Amino acid sequence: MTNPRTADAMSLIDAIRNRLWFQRSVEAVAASLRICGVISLAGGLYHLFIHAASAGFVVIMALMPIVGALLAVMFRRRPDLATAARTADVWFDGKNLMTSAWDLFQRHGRHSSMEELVMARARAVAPQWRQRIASVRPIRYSHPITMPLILTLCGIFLLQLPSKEWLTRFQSETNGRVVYHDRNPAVAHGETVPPISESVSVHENPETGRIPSPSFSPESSLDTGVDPSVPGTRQPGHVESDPRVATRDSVRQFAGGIDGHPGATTNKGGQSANDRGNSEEKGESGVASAKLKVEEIIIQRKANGQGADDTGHELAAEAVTGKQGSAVTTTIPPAQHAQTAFRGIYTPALRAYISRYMQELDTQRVQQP
Amino acid sequence: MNTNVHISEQRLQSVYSALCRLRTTLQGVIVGQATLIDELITAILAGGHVLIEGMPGLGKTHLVKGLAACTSLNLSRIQCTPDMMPADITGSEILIGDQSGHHRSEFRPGPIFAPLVLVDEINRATPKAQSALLECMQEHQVTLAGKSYALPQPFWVVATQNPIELEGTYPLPEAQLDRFMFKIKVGYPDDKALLSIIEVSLDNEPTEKLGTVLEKSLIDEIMAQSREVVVAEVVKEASVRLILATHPESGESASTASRRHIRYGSSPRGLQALLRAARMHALLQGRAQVAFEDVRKVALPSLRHRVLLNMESEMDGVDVDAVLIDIINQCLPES
Repeated sequence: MTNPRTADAMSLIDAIRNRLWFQRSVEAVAASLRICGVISLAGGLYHLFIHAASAGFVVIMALMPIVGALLAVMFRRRPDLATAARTADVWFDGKNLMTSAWDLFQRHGRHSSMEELVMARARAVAPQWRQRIASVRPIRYSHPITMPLILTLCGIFLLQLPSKEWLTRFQSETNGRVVYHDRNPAVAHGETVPPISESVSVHENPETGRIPSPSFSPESSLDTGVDPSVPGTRQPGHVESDPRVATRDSVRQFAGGIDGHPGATTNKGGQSANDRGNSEEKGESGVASAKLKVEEIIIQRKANGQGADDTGHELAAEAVTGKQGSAVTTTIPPAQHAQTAFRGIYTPALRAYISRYMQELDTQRVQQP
Repeated sequence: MNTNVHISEQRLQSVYSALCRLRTTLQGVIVGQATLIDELITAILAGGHVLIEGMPGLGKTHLVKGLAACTSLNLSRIQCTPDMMPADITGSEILIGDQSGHHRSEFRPGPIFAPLVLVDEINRATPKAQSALLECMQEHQVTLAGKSYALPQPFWVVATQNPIELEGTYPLPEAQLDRFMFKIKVGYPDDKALLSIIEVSLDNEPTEKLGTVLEKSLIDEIMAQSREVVVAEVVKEASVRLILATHPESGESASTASRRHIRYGSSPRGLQALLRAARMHALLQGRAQVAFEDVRKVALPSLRHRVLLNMESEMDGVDVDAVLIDIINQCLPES
């Protein structure tokens, strides 16, 4: 390689090898920039039309290809000399002069006159070609930064806009309630959701205490589902310390278990809506009967002088012990384990009724000193 | 060392200028057939034989006559007919009586004993007569009665055939076709070329006025130089890929076009012909090394008669040139 006869040509080939490596690196980075722009735009569109997306997450995802490209550039080996010689012929229309000369440089021994001529011609053109290396564009297409930049800016702009989900929430809030459309198909379909105070009325009964009004229709409350923004509701895994809320959840869990969904302890608005078709088949008589059973238990507990909180707990406990495989761990006296009336007649409508009733209890307890 | 390079450069330049002169001279008398002239010069000076296929009256015979005139080589013409016998080509032994009354056999060489042989309408000769050419073209010798007679050097056979004539013709077998380095198709000249033909050859025979452009020593020099033209490894590898791609049974090397249309691919002799012709083509361009474009230029005439289309493609009228162009584009990089 240090042969002075081949020094010019070898120097050219080496320079082209470096240039080729640089060109490929630039192309890799440019490609990663394009991918970055596409990801940014896609993230922005996702945020705008499908689901609210975190800007930080989108930015991290968009930066991943650039990081990958930079790593590839760092660890990429330079192309071999034969490839560089071929590239020289391609770039400068050498008609395989440098490739042939490179072959001859590698071959030891005596060369024929024609081979000497080829090597001499390669040496002669090497300085001229070397001067022209700088004129070779490092990247084959124009404006490699512009398009990725535009895409990225578009993506960032879209991320700043309110998402469709947020708009839906905002619209619901302006109607008096915050409803997640994905958890409540009724809201998603634009139906009006009455507030609890309108759909459930509570009146004082001297014998039974506070019970829901007979005018309350369990079916009318189905569409509303259960909303986590409503006071007293909670998300899965949350441990509630308030005994009233625990009571409500116990009853709700019981309801889910009887309905064939063990462990359904939390927000099941969407599921309730899905189950509505089944509940309608089970008939309105079952709903009414179950409602009466609940009220009967409450009256009985009140007559025994137990508080409302205890009533709620015991009600839930008794109801739960009436079914098999319940996940509720409340300690229940054996004598009160005979409540099996809800099995088979429980419907999502009843579950909604119980849920509404417990929420009303919560509300009343908060208002009382 | 610089002196040697300088001499090599001068030799190359002299060869290049001589080739340019030959080309220009022939283009002056055979108007509108520049490609035909280039391909003929390439194949002949690369030491190969040429099969020219074209309609009557396109100047095939004139071209060969002009080449003979420019190279000062003896031209021998064999007009093939169905009743031609091998001895009519190779020659035969005849009995000659001397004055003492004794008779002895003496070999009378046939028309094949000439540096440049024009075999006109070769497909009208019977297979028996065609086979007489096999040994001559490959071995450059004639064997008769157990005795071999060497043919003159250089020895070139330029055969012509008419593509539309079917009755009373005998298509050349594959073994015979493989002996030809090039199969050149003569196209029809355009209107400007036709006007030039009128001006050049309306009242006289232009080939008669041609003088010698290449002396025999220069021809030998050109042929020797063409053998020294450098072929880079990548060019050799690309040529091998090209030949393998014409074989439908060569696994991954086979191209899609060959799998669909070709029954038999090119022989190794085709590869030799390809690279020899590419070297000569490079010399025609004044280069000392073969480029991909040289291989690309000579690939079609080198291979079109060495690949055999399958029955379906024959029935569908698929052009072998189109199939080969597909394969060439796939195997050889663009220049």
